[in-house]
Amino acid sequence: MNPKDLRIMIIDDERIVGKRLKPAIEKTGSTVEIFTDGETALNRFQEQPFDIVVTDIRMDEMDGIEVLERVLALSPRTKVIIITGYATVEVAREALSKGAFDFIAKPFKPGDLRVIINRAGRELES
Amino acid sequence: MNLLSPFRKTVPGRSRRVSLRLYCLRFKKMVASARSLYDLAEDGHEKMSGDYILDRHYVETLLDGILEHTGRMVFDACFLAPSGGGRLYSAWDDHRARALRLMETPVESSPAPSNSHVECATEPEYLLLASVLDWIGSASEPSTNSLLDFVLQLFEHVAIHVPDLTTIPSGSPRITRATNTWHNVIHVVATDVEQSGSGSSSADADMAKTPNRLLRLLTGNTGASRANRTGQAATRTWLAAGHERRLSIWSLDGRPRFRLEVSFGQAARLDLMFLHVWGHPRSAERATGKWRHGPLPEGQVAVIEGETSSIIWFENDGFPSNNPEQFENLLTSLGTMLFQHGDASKS
Repeated sequence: MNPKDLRIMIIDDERIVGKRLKPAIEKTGSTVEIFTDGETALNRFQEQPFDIVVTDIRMDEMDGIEVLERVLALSPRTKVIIITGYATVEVAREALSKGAFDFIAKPFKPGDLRVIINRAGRELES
Repeated sequence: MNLLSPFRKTVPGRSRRVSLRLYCLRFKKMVASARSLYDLAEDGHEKMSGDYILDRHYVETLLDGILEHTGRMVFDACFLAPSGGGRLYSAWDDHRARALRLMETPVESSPAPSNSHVECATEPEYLLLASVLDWIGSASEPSTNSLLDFVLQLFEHVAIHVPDLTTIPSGSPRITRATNTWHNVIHVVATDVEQSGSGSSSADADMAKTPNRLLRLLTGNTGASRANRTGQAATRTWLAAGHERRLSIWSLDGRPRFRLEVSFGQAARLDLMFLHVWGHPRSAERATGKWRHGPLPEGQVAVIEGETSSIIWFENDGFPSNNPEQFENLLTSLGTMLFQHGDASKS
């Protein structure tokens, strides 16, 4: 898919993440919406699905694994990318085994995430 | 008497040899913690550039790691030099309390720290990171009360309370190296306990001769003739401990004091060259310069340079493990500096 056609949802309870990622990802022309909790994000997802969901794994109310499971239940074609500050092999393995598209550890550069998003976009196309 | 005592071979000097080996290993652990702490601080500075997406968890993890490594260093310093350890623990408590206060203070209300030079530094997470980096201090000029200044104090504490000649097994050999400034007397102890299990001084003698390549390289450029020529060299005493692939050598008198740790030729990850210069700021600067402008390209050594003390070592990816010739050149030129340098009149 062309990056301009992608609808991307970013969920992270640390406001700085969404605040800084949104403009960085929007540079490619994608539509980006940011959320700070999983529940609100999923309500929005039910109104209108997204092509890509980028979610933090560790959040207070609903963690990233639950977001991943519920998003894929609603829309199996959606690519879910997990971001976390707790980059452990176990967390990565669990996320990937439950259907996450990829995994990125904080701190990271926006360009690193854009690469993964582009790859997800190409896979959505095929 | 211990039940096993009759079966244990009594080896003169063995316990002192073992103690010295443990001492050297503990110092090496302290160096490893200093390197890890420095790497974390460097990582924090890199993240401060503003190119990264980070959150509060990153800063907390960074701070946890730094406190952990510093705590280990305090423990090691007190193990190596118990005398005066209470003062170190007290200073450490102050630092830890200060670090925890940083995390508890709402960052939104914090004033912008002096190192907040990037646009994103107005964001709470970056403000917090900047505060933490302010507390850690600058490696090129750590301010009083900064953590890096405390790190230098820990090494100074160990340097002041360095093991003296009473730790040397009797009969250990000495080698002498003379320069215009110093008549260097180096007491040599082999800490390879297995090899020197017989307790004889033959292992020490071997180490003082060719088998200890590191000591040979270090002392290779200095000799006796120059001191004889001037006749004014003061005596400076050194203690060298190690075995074939490891060397710890430190000066017991004179200014500045030096301590050099070298491991080479084992596994690349274990290779190490670390120097502490203490007691003479100008000399510390010169020692640093020797490394910076020595056989290695710039940028491959890490330096924490304080008012009266400096520590210098190779960064993890900068060690010339795959270039023995470069390593040998560096060690030889370093030896020239160590045995020549200093002001004998202040000894």
